[in-house]
Amino acid sequence: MAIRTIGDSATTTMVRRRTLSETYLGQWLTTTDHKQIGIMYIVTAFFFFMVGGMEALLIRAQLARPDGHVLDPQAYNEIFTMHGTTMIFLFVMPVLVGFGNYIVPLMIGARDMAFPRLNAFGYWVLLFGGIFLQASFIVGQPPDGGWFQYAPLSETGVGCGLHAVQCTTGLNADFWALGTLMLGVSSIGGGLNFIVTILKLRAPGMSINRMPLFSWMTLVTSFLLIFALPSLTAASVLLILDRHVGTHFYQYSFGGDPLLWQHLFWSFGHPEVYILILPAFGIISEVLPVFARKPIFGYTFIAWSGVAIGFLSFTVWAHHMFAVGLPPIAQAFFATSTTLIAIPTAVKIFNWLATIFLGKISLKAPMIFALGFIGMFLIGGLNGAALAVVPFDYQVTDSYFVVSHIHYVLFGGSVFGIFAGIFYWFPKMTGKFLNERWAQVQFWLMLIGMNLAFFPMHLLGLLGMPRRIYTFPDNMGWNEMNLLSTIGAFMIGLAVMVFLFNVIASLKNGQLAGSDPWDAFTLEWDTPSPPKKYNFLTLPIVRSRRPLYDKKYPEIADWKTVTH
Amino acid sequence: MKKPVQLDAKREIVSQEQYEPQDQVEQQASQASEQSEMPEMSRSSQGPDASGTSQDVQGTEASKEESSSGEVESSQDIPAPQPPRAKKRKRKQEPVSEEEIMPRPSYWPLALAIALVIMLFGTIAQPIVMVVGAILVIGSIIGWSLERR
Repeated sequence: MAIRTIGDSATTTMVRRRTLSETYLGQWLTTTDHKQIGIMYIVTAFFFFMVGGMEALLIRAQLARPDGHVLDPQAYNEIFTMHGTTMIFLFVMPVLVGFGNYIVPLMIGARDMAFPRLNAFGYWVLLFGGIFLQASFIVGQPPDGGWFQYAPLSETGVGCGLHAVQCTTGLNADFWALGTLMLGVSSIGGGLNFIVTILKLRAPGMSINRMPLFSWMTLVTSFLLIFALPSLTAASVLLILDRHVGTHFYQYSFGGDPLLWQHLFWSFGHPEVYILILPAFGIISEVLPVFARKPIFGYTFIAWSGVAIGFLSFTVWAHHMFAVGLPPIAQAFFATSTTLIAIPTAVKIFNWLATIFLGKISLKAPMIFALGFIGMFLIGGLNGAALAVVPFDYQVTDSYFVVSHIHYVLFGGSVFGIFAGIFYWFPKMTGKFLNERWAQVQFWLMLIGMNLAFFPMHLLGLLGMPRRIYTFPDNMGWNEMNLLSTIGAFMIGLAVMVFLFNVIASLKNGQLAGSDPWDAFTLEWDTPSPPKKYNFLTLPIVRSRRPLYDKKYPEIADWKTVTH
Repeated sequence: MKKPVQLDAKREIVSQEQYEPQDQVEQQASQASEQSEMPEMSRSSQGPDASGTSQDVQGTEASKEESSSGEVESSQDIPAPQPPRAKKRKRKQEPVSEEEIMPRPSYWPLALAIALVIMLFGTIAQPIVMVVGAILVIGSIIGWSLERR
């Protein structure tokens, strides 16, 4: 007997009231569908992007002029701490997880993630962890010790004041430690889910060697998450114990080790950089071939260089600690391993360049963001290689040179990659195109803005401007470059406004996109836009690295000529 | 056009299974199941030699095309080996409904996340909050475990 709900208009034989999970809100609260969860991740991440962006504008407004008074010193400390924490933990990581959630199962020909409820749990923990962190502003005690919250400066309680140990007596550091603990739970669950999904639920015929590169990079990132995050979780737990139970893990005067925090934090923190950039590498590896109308060049090298980066990322953490006085042998080791990691990264860049070389390039929005990514990330990679040289690092450590480096990597790299992904997959997620003209405006504002904002920071660092200073005197020679930097930051803010306008306008009146608007190669484009709940009516059978291309062009299908 | 390379027998099993366009499959399925409420789907198959309904649906047309064009010369010569335990595989190909194959919605992930946040916040706020949070965590885990999937 057909059972229909009250809302249905068709003839009914039995009527029942809709359950709470069948209402619109209930559907979102109880969903275990990877696509809905992916969208929730992305929307939440963009909300926090706005929050982190406003914090960035406050920082730049304070530093636009010497002797600025936009913020007081305590508020400045809180704002820059929360800017870094929000952007890293609540924007870049979740948005990339959101893409993975939405795209990876479609891409590998699966109907959902391996553990759908764990997937939903990961999202909710992330949301509440983010709200918990931001709620610290409401109670007036946001974290104020920088995004890496160095202990013992973030300690409190016993030992406070002894041997010049400074303390954070409020709840500031507690919010940070607990917030990152929650986000760690979310990320580890998500990482496990991705690993099992990718290893066990691939479509028939999709060997690892045929898997799309975005899925490859998501797999590597997931391993990084489950191996790197426990270190941060342990560090946070020890910090909470020190602060509330009276242990002394980080206090030298009581037999603890003040460097323990740095080792624990950076053994998470440097893999974290690759957690933030590897999925963006994957996005670029998907976008470039489609808009150059060529197969990816050097698939195997791109895939395995990602694995190499993943391994090497666990061997470089102490390059963040050159200035603490490491033994020369340790400095040599970490300088060498840091330089080594440039090799697989360069392999990727050369392969991307070879992919677009002699291609029929279409400069649509995803492609220009992908090209922007390559250029900006290259600058970030090169000045990162400079920082691997110990004597140079001594000179510029904790200066604005480092701030410039991280922003070229994470903004020029990750954020440009994220926007490439958004413009590429938005038609799949919504069934509509984003407006191309507004996308071009956004791109140029963002490209010019980011170079105005972050390139002068190289020079400021070389001129000795320390990071995290509240303000600076008039006579240091830093005025003009700080002003330029602030102008650039507001240009980026304008670009983000353009993007938001574009999203809203396109959702309302956007041009309809078919199931395969880019004439793409991978399986997610072989579903309607947006895809049905079950993704695939019958699971596709894969015979090459470009299954959709094979289907559309059977006479020149890859599997006829290529033996991978 | 380049001639296709000779593939080994194992690989050829895959290549004979022409990949059916999803839209065509859905059309066929909707025609076949007009009277039912939801489109029927195949259960997930785990390997190239257990290819589910897509192999059955479209193998004939695809192989006709290939043989007429003459481009794939090897695929017709190699007899496809009979898969072992064919009966069991046939059972797997029986169509199932969307409800049967897709995960059900659940409140427990949300409940567990809220409980976890309450418990962690309790560690720095009041011990009683932590205790309440811990009880909620345990309750959520039990509810999650006992929920009918």
